[in-house]
Amino acid sequence: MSTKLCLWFGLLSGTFVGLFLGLLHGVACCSPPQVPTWAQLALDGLVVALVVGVIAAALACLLCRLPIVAVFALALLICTLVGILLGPLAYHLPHPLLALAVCALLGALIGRLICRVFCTDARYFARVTS
Amino acid sequence: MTTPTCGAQQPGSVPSPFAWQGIAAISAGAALIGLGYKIGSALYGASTLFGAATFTACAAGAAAIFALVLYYAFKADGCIISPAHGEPICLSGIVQDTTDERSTAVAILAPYAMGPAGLFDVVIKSDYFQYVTGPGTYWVYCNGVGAPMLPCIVKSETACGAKIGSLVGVTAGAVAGAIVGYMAAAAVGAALGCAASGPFYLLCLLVVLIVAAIVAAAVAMAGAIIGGWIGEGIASAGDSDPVVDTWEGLSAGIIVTVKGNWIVNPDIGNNELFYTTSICRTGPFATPPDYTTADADSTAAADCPIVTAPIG
Repeated sequence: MSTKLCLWFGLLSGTFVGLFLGLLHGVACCSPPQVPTWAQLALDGLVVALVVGVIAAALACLLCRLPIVAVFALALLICTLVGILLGPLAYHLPHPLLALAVCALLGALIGRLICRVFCTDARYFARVTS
Repeated sequence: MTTPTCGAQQPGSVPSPFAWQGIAAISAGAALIGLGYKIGSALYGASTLFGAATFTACAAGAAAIFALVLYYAFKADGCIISPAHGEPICLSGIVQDTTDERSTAVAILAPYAMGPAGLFDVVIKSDYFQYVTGPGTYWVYCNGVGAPMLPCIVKSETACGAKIGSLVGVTAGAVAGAIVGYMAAAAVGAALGCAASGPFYLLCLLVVLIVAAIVAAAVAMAGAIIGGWIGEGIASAGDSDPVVDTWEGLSAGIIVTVKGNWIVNPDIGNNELFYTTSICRTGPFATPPDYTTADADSTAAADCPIVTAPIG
């Protein structure tokens, strides 16, 4: 259960970061056009990922009766990493749907890695959360 | 037969079955986002550059909720998809405890995710030990005094109606959400005036996209919830399930003979009845829990056929 939860958090936040930042790719402002800095893109990715993470964590607590603090902490950790790392990448990919697919996969991978570090005994979590 | 060891039965973790429900939900969500992008590009691509992006964001918000409802609808719980096909068995023992899994919060806020009504743990007679240590078992549940127990799951009467109602509701809600979300985003975009926001131009546009997606998701979720309530109401109007009625009257210490579909739990690896198809109460036990296997053996003979232990 816990490893699946990490995977879902990473997948969902990666999907939305990829899509939204990818959709902003062709939009230019100002004259001459200004290229956004990596820090700006990381901030944008962080905003999207955190919004998705909070909603996903709230749904997870409602649907699976999981411990609230632990789930929100896990979601915030995964989504912070996903937002900062994948925001700039998503913006620089040429097509929003490609950005969606790539960031969803990488987000799921980041979630999985976080779980490998923080959730050591899957059976224990499965018993507690079942 | 010797008393089974409590807890883990073999090393390693339970092999997870292929989660095709998750893949189906993700594929449906991705297809809807792709469709939204195509429609958005066709509708707004030529006129406004940002129109297509906003419509796609709306589609993404609605698609996420649609995928969530679809995921629960495709769970193998006997509603749309049949539960794992096990072996029909009969056993008897003493009820150790009962758990009501019904949640008012879930029934009101997420009717599409309603699960079983509840479960009860039975301290089984020694004649039925093979039912907690069947092939592929990874875990045996025991009570506080080390007596093996078999969890018996009771199906919810109304969950199926709620799930089908939610599926219909979210379909209508997703379409409405995409339209309402786009209108909300246009209003927010006009109010913010992103063109004049300088270095935070992209962040301003991003806020518009997030608002579009959240409004679309909220409308789709509202459709799912209202549809679920309607389905729940229709399902509860039918005849009541005798298994649920009997289970609601169970308490610790009741001697029971139960029948049901015997499977291995795919998450934990213990044996269980999913679902219980018959509960027959044969009287109360004299003392309070915890109960031992000897207590269960001391009760009257069960109404089950004679069971022979498997060879080896």
